[in-house]
Amino acid sequence: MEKIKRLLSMIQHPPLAPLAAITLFALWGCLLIYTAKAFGNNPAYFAGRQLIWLGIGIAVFCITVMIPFYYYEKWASWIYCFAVLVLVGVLIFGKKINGMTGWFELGDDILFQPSEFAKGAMILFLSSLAGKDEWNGRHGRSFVKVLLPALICCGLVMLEPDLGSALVISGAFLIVFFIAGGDLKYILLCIAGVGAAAITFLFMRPYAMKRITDFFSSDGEMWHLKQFLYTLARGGWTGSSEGGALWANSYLPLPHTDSLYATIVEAAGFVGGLIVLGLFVLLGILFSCMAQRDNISRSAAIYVSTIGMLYLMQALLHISVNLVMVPTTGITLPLLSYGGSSLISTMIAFGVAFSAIRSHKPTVTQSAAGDAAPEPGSGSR
Amino acid sequence: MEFRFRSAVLLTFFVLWAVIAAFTLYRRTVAEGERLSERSESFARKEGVLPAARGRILDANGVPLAWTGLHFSLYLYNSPNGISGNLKDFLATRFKITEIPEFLPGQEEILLLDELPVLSEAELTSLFSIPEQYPLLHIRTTHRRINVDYPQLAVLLGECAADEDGVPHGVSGWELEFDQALSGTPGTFTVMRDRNGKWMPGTLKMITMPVPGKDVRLKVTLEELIGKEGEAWKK
Repeated sequence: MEKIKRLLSMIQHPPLAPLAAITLFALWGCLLIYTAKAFGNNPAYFAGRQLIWLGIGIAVFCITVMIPFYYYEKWASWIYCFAVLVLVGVLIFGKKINGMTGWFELGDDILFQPSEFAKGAMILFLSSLAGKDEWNGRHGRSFVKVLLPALICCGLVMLEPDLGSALVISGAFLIVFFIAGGDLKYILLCIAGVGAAAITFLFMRPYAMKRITDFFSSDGEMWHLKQFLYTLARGGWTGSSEGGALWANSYLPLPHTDSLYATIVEAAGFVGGLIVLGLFVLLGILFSCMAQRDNISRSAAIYVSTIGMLYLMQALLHISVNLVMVPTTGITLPLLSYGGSSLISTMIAFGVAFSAIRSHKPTVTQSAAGDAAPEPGSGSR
Repeated sequence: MEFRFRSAVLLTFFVLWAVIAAFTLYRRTVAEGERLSERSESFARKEGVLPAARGRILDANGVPLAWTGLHFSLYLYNSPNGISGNLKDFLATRFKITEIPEFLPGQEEILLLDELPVLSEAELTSLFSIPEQYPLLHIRTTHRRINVDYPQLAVLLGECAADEDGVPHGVSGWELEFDQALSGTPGTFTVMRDRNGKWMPGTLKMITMPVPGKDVRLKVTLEELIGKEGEAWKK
C-alpha cells in the first residue's frame, strides 16, 4: 500500500506550457500538410490523418511525462532490446515501399516505422550507460560499451536500406558520446567510420551514387534539384503570388514529407522559412538550457541535451536538403512532416525528456536512510 | 563543467549551420529568386491555341444544315503502378468496359471510349468529376462537325478536318467553299503544366480571345436540297 502511495506521489502532471507550444507547432504542421496537398485529389486526407496522429501523440506525451525518469533509466536496456527486436522483425515481416523494407502494415493504410522509435530507445540506453559513475569517455572500454548498441541499431536500419535514418542515428550516437565526455580521437574514428560506411553504401546502391554525382555535376542540375530551386524561388519574401504551394504540388515529389520545407518556403516565403528555422534552433537551445539544471542526474542531462540537439540536427539536415546545400536524402522535418511514426516517436522522446527535466538526483540523506525505492535519477554530472 | 562546455560547442556548431542555412535561404528566395522564377515560368508555361467556334451552315429559312457539337472521349493514362482493381471495377460498371487494351512501349495514353453519351448538364458535371476520383482517367473534349441527318446532302455540305492545333478547316464541299467565313479567328493562351502535363490551376492567361466564325446562310431551302430539285442542283 505504501509502495503504491509512493508510486502515485511520483507521477508527474504534464507540463502545460511546453505541451501547448508543441501542440500548436504540430497543428501548424497539419495546416502545412494541407497546403502541400491542396491541389491534389483529396487534400484533407493527409492533414486529417496527421490530426489523428497528433491526438495520439499528445496522449502518449502526457503518459510518458507522468512516468518518473528513474524508471526509464531502469528499463533502458529492455526498451533498447525490444527496439532492436522490432528492427529485426521489420526486415523479415515488413512491407517494402520504394525499395525499402522499413514498415509494418497494421492494416487499412496504417504503417508503422520502427526505426523512428529505435532512435529514442538507443539514445535513452546510451544516456543511461554514459550516466553511470564508472563510465569514462576516455577509456576504450567505455567507448566500445556505447559504440556497440549504436552499431547494431545503425546496421539494422542500413539493411532496410534507409540511409537517411542511419545518418540520423549515427549523428545521435556522436552527439551522446561527445556530450558525455567522449575522447576526441574516438569521435574522429567514428566520423571516419561513418564516412567509410556511407561510401560503401553508395557504391552498393547506384541510385544513391547518382544523387551525389548529379549534385556535384557542373553541366546542368538534376531534375529534382532544379524543382527545389524553382519552388524556393517562387516564395520570394513572403510567399508565392499565386498563393499556396502550387509548384511544390505540381513538381516536387512528396511535398508533405521529404520536401516539406521547400513547400513551406513557397507558401510563406523567406520570412516563413526563417521562422521555421528559428523555431528549431530555439528548440535546441531550450533543451540544452534545461539540461544544465543542477538538480537532474547525469543520464537525464545527457538525454535531454541529446534529444534537443538530435531534432535540431534532423531539422537542419532536412532544411539543407531542401535548400540544395547537400545531396538529396529522405529525411522528414520533425513535428511538421506527415507521418504517424515520426510524430508519435517525437512526442514520446519529448515526454521522456520532460520527465527527465523534472527528475531529481538522489540526495545523500535519502540514500543513507536506505529507502526501499530510490528517488529518480542517479549518479552525478 | 565539461558537460556544459561540450554542450555549448555542439550548440554553436548547429547554430552556425543554421546561420549558413538562413543565408542560403535568402539567396534562393530573394537574391536569385527572380531569375529562377523566370526560368521556372519558361520551363512550365506553354502556349496553346483555343479554336474559335465554327459558324453554322443554314438554309434559306435558317434551318441548320451543319454545326459544331462538343464531343467527349475517355482516355486512360499509362502508370508504372498499373491499373488498380477499383479502377477496373469502375470502368466495368460505369462504361461497360471489361477489357482494357495493353499499352504499347512508349505509349502515354490509350483511348477507351470515343464517344461518351452526354445528354444533360448533370451528366456533364458527373463526367468531369471522374478524373478527380480516378486520376489515371481523363476526358478529352473536341469539337466535331455535325451534319443534318440527310445522307444525300453529305457531299454538298462537305467535310472538316482539324489541324495540329485542333482548329477545324473545311476540306470539301461548302465547308471548304465558305471556310474563311465559317472559321473565325482562333485565340491564343498560355498555361503552366505540371510534370504530368496537366494544367496547373489558376495559371491560364488568355493572350488573344477567339473570334467565332460567322454563320453562312444559303439561298436554297432544305426541302429544295433533298427534293428532285436537289438532285439537279447536285449535278
